[in-house]
Amino acid sequence: MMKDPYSILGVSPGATDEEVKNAYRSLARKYHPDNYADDNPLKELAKEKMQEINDAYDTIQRERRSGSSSYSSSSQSYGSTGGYSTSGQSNVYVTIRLKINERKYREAENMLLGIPDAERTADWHFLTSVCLMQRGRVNDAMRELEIACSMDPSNQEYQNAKQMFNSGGNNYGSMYYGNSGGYRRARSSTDDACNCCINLMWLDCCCECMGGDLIRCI
Amino acid sequence: MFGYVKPVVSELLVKENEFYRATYCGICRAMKRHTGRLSTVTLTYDSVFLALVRMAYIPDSELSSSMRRCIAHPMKKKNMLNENSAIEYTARAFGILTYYKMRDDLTDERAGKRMLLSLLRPIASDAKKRANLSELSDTVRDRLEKITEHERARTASVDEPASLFGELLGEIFSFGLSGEDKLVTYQCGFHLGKFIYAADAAEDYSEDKRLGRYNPFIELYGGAELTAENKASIKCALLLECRALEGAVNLIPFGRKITVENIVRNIIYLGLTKRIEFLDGEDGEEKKGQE
Repeated sequence: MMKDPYSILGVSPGATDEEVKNAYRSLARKYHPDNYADDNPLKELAKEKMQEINDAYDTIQRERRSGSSSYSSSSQSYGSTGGYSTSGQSNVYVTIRLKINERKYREAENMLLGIPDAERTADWHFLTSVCLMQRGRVNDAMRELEIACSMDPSNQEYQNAKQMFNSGGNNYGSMYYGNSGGYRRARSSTDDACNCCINLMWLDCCCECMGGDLIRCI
Repeated sequence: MFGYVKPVVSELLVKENEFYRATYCGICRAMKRHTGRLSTVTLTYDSVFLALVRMAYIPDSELSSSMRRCIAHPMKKKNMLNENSAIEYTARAFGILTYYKMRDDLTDERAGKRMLLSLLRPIASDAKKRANLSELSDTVRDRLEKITEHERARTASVDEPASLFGELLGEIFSFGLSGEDKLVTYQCGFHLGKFIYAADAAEDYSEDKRLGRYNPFIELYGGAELTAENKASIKCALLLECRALEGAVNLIPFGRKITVENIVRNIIYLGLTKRIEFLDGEDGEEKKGQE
């Protein structure tokens, strides 16, 4: 360990276990890689920071009471991957869904672009929306999703995605203004873990409604 | 200039509000020195956000203030931040941005405002010259020209022109920094820029329609009155942009500069969302903060 674990967490070596835990939690909430879309250039950096605080926290835990750490596995908490259902689709869309599952969004998008206008189904618009979202083109993604929904209003998958999409910004600002009474106090409150759940990426909401498993992510 | 990037003052601590104002005054003083006394009339509160972000990257010891008098308030001494590299940079960068924004607005604003702008133009032009950051200046010009191309082509996408404006602010936020710091500040500016462009377009929807000006939302929604659903989806996209901005802000190393961080968070959580309240339909009163 090159750096003092206490200074990484921003607490003094004399801090209580509770203080260390709170400091760790508030930093983990900040750096959680699920806060970053896959294409976001900051995702890697956030992962590094997360790893750094995970290591620091583990080190402190080990120093203080050997073995009994409940957080040693925390670094696995963000290894989330959503699944995309692939049932009942025509062939090319199955392949594209698989690409999206593997997070090969560029390839998926190129395949989508290769499909001629006349053959673009509701599913085409839906999958395009997923890819656009990955590139941070939220407005365009939303347009495509709306087209998909209007082409096939009965499709539950699209409706769910739309709902998830619409609720994506709902909790924005909760860190400052949430029920724990504000950003400043939230740092020492005990419901940080809850907020952490709330802060789970809206992107993963997409995965979830498409057959993935959110619980697994947490 | 944008009017979007301000804190909700009632939610700031008194010392935070004081620091915020002192920063504003500090930028004004720096403009006087670096971009000319007259250029200070173009200063807006939006510039403070840039200064705050850049302050995260200077040593704590450089943040000091002192009581001074200024022309705008000759009777009472005011607390002003002493000049530091973050403030100096903000003054110069805003000099450039103001010049190009003004040049841009001259072509598409109405007659009355145009006259006012043309009066200010020589000041802005002088400020740009004095700012002396030609590299940044070229980038800003390039991005604004590309946005103008979209305006001419009447592009039916918000993300394309908005991303260009995002790039512009990204360059401004990250100029002169390197490595990780550059990456983080660039993203910070990028998402703020996208937010501002889209929010601005949404707000000007009716006016642009009346005047026949380009507006990506008009191209998308055909110019009809925006329905509650349209507004909700625009708002949702804006909030997702805020999220991405939050992600970037989370990686800014504020360290012990808690006052600075708290103002920044107030701006991105409360200031920005307050600014897009015009998109709320009837259910606007839900957002009272209490569960």
